[in-house]
Amino acid sequence: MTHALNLTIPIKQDVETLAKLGALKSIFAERVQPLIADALRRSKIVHFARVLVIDDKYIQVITEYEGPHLEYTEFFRDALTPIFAQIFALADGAPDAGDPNAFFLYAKDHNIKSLGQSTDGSTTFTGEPAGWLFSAYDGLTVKDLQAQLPPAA
Amino acid sequence: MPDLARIQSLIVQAAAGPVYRLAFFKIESTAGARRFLRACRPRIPSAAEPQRPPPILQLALSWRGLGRLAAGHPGLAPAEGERQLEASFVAPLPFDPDSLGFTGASAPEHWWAGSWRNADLDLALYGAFADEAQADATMAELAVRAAAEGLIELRLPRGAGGRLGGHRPAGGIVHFGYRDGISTPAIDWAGDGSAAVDFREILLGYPNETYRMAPMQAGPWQDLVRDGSIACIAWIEQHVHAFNRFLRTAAGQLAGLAPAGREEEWLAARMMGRWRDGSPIMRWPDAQPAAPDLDDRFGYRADPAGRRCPLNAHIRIAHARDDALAYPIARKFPNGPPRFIRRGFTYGAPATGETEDGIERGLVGLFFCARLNEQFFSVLRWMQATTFNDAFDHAPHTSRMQDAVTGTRSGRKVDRQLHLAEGERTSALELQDFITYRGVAHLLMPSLPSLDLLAEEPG
Repeated sequence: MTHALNLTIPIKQDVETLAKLGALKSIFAERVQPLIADALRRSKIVHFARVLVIDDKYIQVITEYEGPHLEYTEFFRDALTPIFAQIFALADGAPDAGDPNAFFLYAKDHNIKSLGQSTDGSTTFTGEPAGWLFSAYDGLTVKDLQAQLPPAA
Repeated sequence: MPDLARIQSLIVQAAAGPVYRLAFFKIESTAGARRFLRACRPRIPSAAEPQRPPPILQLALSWRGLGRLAAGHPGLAPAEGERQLEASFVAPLPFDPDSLGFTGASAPEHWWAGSWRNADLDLALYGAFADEAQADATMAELAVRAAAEGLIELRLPRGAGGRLGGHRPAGGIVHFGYRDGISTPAIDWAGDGSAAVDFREILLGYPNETYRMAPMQAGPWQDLVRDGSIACIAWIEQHVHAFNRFLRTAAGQLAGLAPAGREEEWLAARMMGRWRDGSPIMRWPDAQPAAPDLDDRFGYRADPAGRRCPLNAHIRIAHARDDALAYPIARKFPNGPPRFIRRGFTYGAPATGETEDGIERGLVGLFFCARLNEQFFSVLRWMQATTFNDAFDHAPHTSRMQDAVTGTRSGRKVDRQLHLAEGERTSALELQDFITYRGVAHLLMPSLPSLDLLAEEPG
C-alpha cells in the first residue's frame, strides 16, 4: 500500500537560520534535487517527492511511497543523511540525522496526518489508521507501474 | 570489545536442558522485584563459564520492567531511556502488526491465550532443566519467591503449570519433521575478525558507522544496555496435520515434476529449502543424500529465478544469504541480510498423519538481535511480503508472495502461490496457513553487571 509522508518542520526565525534557509533554496535545484532524485529513483518505492517552504516558517518534505514506515524510514535517513542534516539545521530540537532512532521519533512526531481516513489500510508511524490519500490506480506499486511503461528510448 | 563474563550465557551458547520453561511476571513492588533479581542471580551463568549442569536461569526485562528498575539510579531517568532506546523496543507491541503477519488468529488480541497482554509484561524468566521434576520443583520454588516479593505471575490457562514449557526436540527434529538449528551464525564475539558475523548484530552498546543501534549517544543508558541483547520470544503453534494434508493433496498436482512416489518429500524440501534431514536443496536438488549434509556454506546466486530452490522457501527468506537484495534493503544491510541467534524448544506431543487430535503443539523461539526493527521485524515482514528481493518482481513471482511455511495468508492482497519448476515443467500451488502466532514479546536480556545494578536499591 502507498503511504504519505507529510514531514512538516518549523523553521527557527533567527537571522542565521533564515540565512541557511536562503542558502538551501539557492542550491536546491542544482545540488540537492539531483541527490534526492537519484536515491529515490533507485529505491523503486517512491511515487512522488517534493520539498516545500511555507512563508519561511515551515519546511515540508512530502512523498508518497510503498511499504511500511518501519521498513523504509531508515533507508530514507541513510540515503539522504546530508540533506536531512541541512533541513534539520533549520529547526529547533531537531535530531542528529545520523541517529536512526532519533530520526524515527522526529519523523513520527512531525508527520502531519492528512484529513480524512485511509481507505487501503495505510497506517501512521505508530500503527493508527492514516489520513486519506487518493490513488487513481488503486495502490499499484511503482514497480507495477514501471512494468506497464514502454522502455525509455 | 565484548567481555563474555558480562553476557548471559544463553546469548552465546544453547542451554543444556533438555527441559525448558518460560515464565512471565508483572512487577507490583519495585523493591520486591529487586530482591527477586538478587535471589535469581546466582543461578544465572555468564557466557564465559563452562556450561553449568541444569538448573540454570536467564532473565529478561521488557521496557516497562527495565524502566521501573532503572528509575532512581543516577543518569537512568526512564523518560530519557524512553527517548534513547529503540522506539520499537519501548513500545509493548509492534507498531505495524499486520505487516509482521500478526493478523487473524495470529493478531495480538488473541495472544497469550487471552490471559494477559504485552503491556502487563515486565520480566521473563527462562529456565533449562535436567528433567520435568527438576523443572516443576524449581519453577514452583521461584513462583513462591516471586509472589512473596510482589511479582504477579502471568500464567496461561494450560501448559506446564500455566507456563510455556517444552523440550529440546529429539534428534533436533521439530514438529513439521525437519531438522532444525543448522544455520546458527558464527558470531565474532572477540571482535577480531575470527568469525564471519559482527557481534554488533547481537549485542547492544557498541554503535558504529555500520551498526547505528540505539542508544547512539554515549552515557548511562548506553552503558546499561551494553552486552545485553534484545530477546524476542515467539510462541508459535504448528498445524502439523494441516501441513501433512497439504503435502499429500498438493503432491497430486506434481506428477511429472517431482520424482514418482516421492512427491510429498520433494515438495516438503522445496517449501523449506532443505530436505527434512537438513540437507540444502541447492546442493541436493533431486533427493536427500545418504547422510545429512549440514555444511551451511551455500548460496543462491546460481539460482536467481528460484527454479531449484523456490524464492519463497522458508530458509531463503529467513536468511537470504547471497541473494541480491532490493536497493533500499541492500543499502540498509551493507554486511548482508540481518542475522540473529535462535534458541528455543518444542512443545506438545509429536504428531503424524492428517487427523486432528486436539493437541496443541509447536515451538517457542527466542531470537537475539541488537536492532529489533531492522533485524527481527524485517525478516518477519519479508515472510509476509517478499519486497526485499527484486527477483520477486518477475513473473510468475510477485512481491506479495509469502514464506511458504510461515506466511499468514489472511492479509490483504496476499499472493499465496508457491512456484515450482523442474526442467521445462512448472507448477503453482496455493499455500495455506501452517502456523499461528500465539504470543510474541520483545525484551532486553541485560548484561550481568546491569542486572546487578538494577537489583540494587538506588542511592
